[in-house]
Amino acid sequence: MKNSYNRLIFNNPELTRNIWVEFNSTRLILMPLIFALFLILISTFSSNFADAVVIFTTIMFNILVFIWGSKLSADSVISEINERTWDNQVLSLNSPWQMTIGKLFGATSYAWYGGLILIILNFIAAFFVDNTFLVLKISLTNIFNAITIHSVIISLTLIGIKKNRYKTKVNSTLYFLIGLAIAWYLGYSTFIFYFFDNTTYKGLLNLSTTILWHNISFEINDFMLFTSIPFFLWSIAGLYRSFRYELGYPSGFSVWLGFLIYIIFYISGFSSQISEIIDSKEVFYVGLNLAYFSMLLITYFSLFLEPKHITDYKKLLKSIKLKDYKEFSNILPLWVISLILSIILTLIITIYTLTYVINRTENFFFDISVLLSLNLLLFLIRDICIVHFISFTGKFKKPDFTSIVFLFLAYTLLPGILSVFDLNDIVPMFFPFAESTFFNGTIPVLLQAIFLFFIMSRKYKSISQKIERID
Amino acid sequence: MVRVENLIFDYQETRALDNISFNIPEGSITALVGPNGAGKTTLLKCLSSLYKPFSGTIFINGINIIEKPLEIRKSIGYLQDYFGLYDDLTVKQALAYVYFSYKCDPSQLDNRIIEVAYQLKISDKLNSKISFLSRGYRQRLAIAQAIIHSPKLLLLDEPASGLDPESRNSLSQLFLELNKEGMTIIVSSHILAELDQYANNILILRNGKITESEVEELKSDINDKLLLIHFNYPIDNIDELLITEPLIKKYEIDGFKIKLLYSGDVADQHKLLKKLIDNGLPVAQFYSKQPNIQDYYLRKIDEKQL
Repeated sequence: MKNSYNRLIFNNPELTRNIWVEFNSTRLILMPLIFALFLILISTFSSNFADAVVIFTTIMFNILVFIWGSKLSADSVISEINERTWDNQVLSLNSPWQMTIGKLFGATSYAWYGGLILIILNFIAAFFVDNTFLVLKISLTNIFNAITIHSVIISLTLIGIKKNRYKTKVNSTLYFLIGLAIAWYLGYSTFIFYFFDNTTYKGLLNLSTTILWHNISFEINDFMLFTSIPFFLWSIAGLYRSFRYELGYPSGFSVWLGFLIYIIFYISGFSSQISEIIDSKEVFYVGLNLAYFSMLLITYFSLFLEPKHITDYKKLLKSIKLKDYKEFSNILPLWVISLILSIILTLIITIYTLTYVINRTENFFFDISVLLSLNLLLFLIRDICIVHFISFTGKFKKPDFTSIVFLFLAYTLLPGILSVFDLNDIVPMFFPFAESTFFNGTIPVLLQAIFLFFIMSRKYKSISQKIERID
Repeated sequence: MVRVENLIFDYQETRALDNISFNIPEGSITALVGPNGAGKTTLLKCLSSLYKPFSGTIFINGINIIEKPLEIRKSIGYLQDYFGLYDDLTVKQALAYVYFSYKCDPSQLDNRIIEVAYQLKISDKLNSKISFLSRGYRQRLAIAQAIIHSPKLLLLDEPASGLDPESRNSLSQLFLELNKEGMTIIVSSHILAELDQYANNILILRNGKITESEVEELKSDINDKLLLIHFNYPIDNIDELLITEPLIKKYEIDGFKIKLLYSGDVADQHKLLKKLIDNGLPVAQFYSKQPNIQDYYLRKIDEKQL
């Protein structure tokens, strides 16, 4: 669209700009032409053309929209940083919604152009196969999942540029790989079944796999469609929130908090899967633990993804001092929210476990320490202090990578050596064990956490004073 | 127009702006100068609302931009030092994109593109793809993008870098033209010699601190002028004569040329010339030169032993 310049598409400058760049007459023709050639080829080899079209369009959609679209999404903001055009976008009056739509569907517009053709072909072919609704459900799930992945990737890149605020070059590969991992996970039960289960979509029909979630029974594909919609909505809300922050709008943490509460609800629902072998109280206990582990993982994940600049923490402490809660909620690191939820879940689990220990039945399924969840929390707090200490020192070019290596060694090497020397009683000091006690698990980890908090605070203070002394 | 109070900005371990305060009057063209790493780019980014400082306030047109950055963005045009352009767009598309991004009146788009393209002398390139533009044209397009939404305050970080002398001169003319239209301009520049052509205000940053904030203030500190005297041939022992003159603050002898830092007025100058001729010295040229911003700046940093 080389000569267009004076007409906005959907009243969205960012979407319009992307479409000007992505589309020209050659590209418009090229994509359907390639598909047409493929279809001709398929028609000559396939005995059932409609079946073949369904398989072809699903596979191509995965390649085109999931994989290539993820790459385009990862580059959409990062390339602006690297090409030094991002500052102008931030200073423009494009709203967070315009940027959300503009980036989400603009940067990937050509992939979606192909995707749209494939979806139409898929929907048409679906009416000529035996199980029309199944094919339609899978395709709908794929559409929601693709948008979810793209918006998650763009959100991650926005966190990434926050982390690399003053750098002029940022690499998009990590975000692309994370996107691919999510794509693989989400696409697994649709895409991969075509290959490994009777080689056609009919294989899916033979799967009687059902899933029990919060005591509701779903066919696996119904469940995937049912869960892909809220994830799609959350991802859009998350992307919108990220753009609000980046463009200087007051953003707060309500979207993230809402998402985490949804995750607690979503993950805990899977405990129903084992409801046939344990009693209902234990189902609740398992659900709590699933939610708790999810919060721990999310805290670690966001801890490494988010920036840990000393200046940001100075601003945070200043906002607390001045009781500026608007600013506080705007700059509060997201890992803090999941940490707080982890603490709440620890309390609930500990009380629940203690109740069980007191009123223990012989059939109690889980013979684990009452203190395990508390110990896990203390390990998390200790690790947060380590990661921040390494980041504050400023001595490492890649502090997060250094922290990951350090923690990996701390959780493997030291416990491994102790085990070799048959010092198994000391191992819980350095690795969370289900059998740990108050004295060999809780107290030592608590002391480690206190000590590391102390040295991290000292480092923070010395760097802060150093900045203020500069004349 | 711009009022900055106690502004502090920190990078990871560095204080880039150290409690600075200054005012910039409406309708002025302010030269922002200072050595590399002084904090010029950081200051411009804070003024544009791209960077949020640790503390302090910035008022632009009475609005605190730290609290309400969005309210002021339409009034600001910003050109960063190492700017980027969308190489796959045409010049016209790039200008239209920025115009639309600032929510300007779509019915005026064509007129505004023609107007800005004429001002920046890029009218003949409107349909060219940006990737085919030369360095000079890219710079002009970047400035066109910064002004297409008619901002009241224009922030330019090294706008003349990479431009040939002719383009730099037309850039100076453009600043004066925009200033005449009512735009307040802040220009960070290393090309100090050209600041005199347009700047009527100056901010000197050094180690994150403002050392001077007005040209008049700066000039009042340095009342001396430069006197340049050329003889027909080198004069032996001329310094014996020069040291007897109390109004000569400093002198440099370079063969048959002498450069004096002179604090006298025109009448004193006349007396000095008469004395030289009465002493039989072969004066071929005798003229005074008013120091420009560059002279003031270099003198000032020399005093501060930068």
